[in-house]
Amino acid sequence: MVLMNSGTETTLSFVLDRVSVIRQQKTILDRISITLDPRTTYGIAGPSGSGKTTLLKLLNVLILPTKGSIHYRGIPLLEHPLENHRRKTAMVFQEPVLFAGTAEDNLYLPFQLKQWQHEKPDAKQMKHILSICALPEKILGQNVNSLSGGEKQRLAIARALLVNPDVLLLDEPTSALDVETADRIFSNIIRAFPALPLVVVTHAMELLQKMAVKILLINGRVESVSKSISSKQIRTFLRETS
Amino acid sequence: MNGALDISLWRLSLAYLLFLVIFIITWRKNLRLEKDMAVSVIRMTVQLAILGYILTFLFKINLWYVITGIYLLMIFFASQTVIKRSGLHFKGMYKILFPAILLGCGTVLVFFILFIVHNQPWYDPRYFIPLSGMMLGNSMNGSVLALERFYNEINQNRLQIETWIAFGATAKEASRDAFRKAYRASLMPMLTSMTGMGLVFLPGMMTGQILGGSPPITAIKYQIAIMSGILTSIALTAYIILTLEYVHFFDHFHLPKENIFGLAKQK
Repeated sequence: MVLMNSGTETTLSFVLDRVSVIRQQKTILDRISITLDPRTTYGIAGPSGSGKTTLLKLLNVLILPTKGSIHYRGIPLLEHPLENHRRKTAMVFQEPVLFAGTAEDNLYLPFQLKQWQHEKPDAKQMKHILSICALPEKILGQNVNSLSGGEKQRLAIARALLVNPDVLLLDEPTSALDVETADRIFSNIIRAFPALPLVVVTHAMELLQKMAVKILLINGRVESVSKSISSKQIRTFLRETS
Repeated sequence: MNGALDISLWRLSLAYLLFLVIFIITWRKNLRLEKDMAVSVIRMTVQLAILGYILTFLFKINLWYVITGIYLLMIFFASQTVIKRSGLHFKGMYKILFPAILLGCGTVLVFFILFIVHNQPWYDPRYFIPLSGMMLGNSMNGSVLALERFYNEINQNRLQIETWIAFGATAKEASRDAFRKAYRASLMPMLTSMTGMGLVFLPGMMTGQILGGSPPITAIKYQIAIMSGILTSIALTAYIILTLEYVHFFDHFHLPKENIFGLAKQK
């Protein structure tokens, strides 16, 4: 693939060892121990307030653990060059954050930073990513205020893919998309970047089932990590814990 | 210079009648500003009366170290006022504000006195005190506006800041827009005032000089010079404060400090 690293460079190896996140006496994550293996896609589900977003933010160092340790590629997470790590574990937030201007302005936004200006994608790369995210090229000139919620969400995913990440973290990336479009985009992403590890927080059962490993969280703890859990079992879990 | 006509005390007391008029209107209309008005008028009267005696004393003794000491004291009060009025009471805030105001206003003052006004001796309180006071007062207001705006911009745009940080931005890069808006906010009142100057109103210093008997052209020259000094000192002070305040607003990991901005939304 043009944009992605390949081979062992893309190995994802986050090792969380008894990680807790406590804020204002409230335990958000409670002694989580989990290893996110290389070249795997993860779907995280759980009731509201179970710590799903916090878990994603921990991997991107947008939140620091109160207790426990996180290693990435065998090195403590905080020993990695911080800015580079954050960029390479690209994060797409639940609420797509777009800035005033056109869609194109927003796609090039991460390349406004001085240290990454030289990585600015060319037109061919841009076109390729837009097609993966099921966005027409004409969207580039459109003001972001005129875009629908679904288009904004896809634009945020496209922007994250453009930075050539080693890991892609997505928080409810399809909440504004219909099932078919969501399915199409994620099939495209998995096909185009087979070695790109995804960690996706989602309530959408179809998307969850696309991920190789499903992690279920409840009250800040890992309830189960499974490759074979069925949609029915997940639905039952979510119904009983919500 | 002939000096301005003196106002006798009983004539001055007539000025308080003007205050009384607005006081009565405010009270009758139940605008709930009477207390603030009364406190402000009393404070102004007492403070200016004390200042009158202090200035008379300073003009008489004319010692550089006393004048410099007074200047440092003025900066100390200005720093305290900025903290109080901005509502940002962080540990170590004073350590940033005092040197920032000293550097921002002090540099401009030194340049102004040595090269523009060129008064002899340099510490002549007749020039030093009012000039430094004007620069300090305006820089203090500018600093409050800059700090308030900077804090609010970061607080209200946490998601945007977080997005930038997730792209690999440093705290400075992530809050560049907030910095720009805060810096602009600090200068806007002065820029607006400069635009209307001479057309809409006569500036205070110039009015004072004309009343004091200076030729209008001399008063205008002073006014132009002091406006450039004030604008530069506001800009410099706000710039230094905003540059240094990152340490209070962001932690080592470039994240907005939770104890200052509260928690980001978490699930």
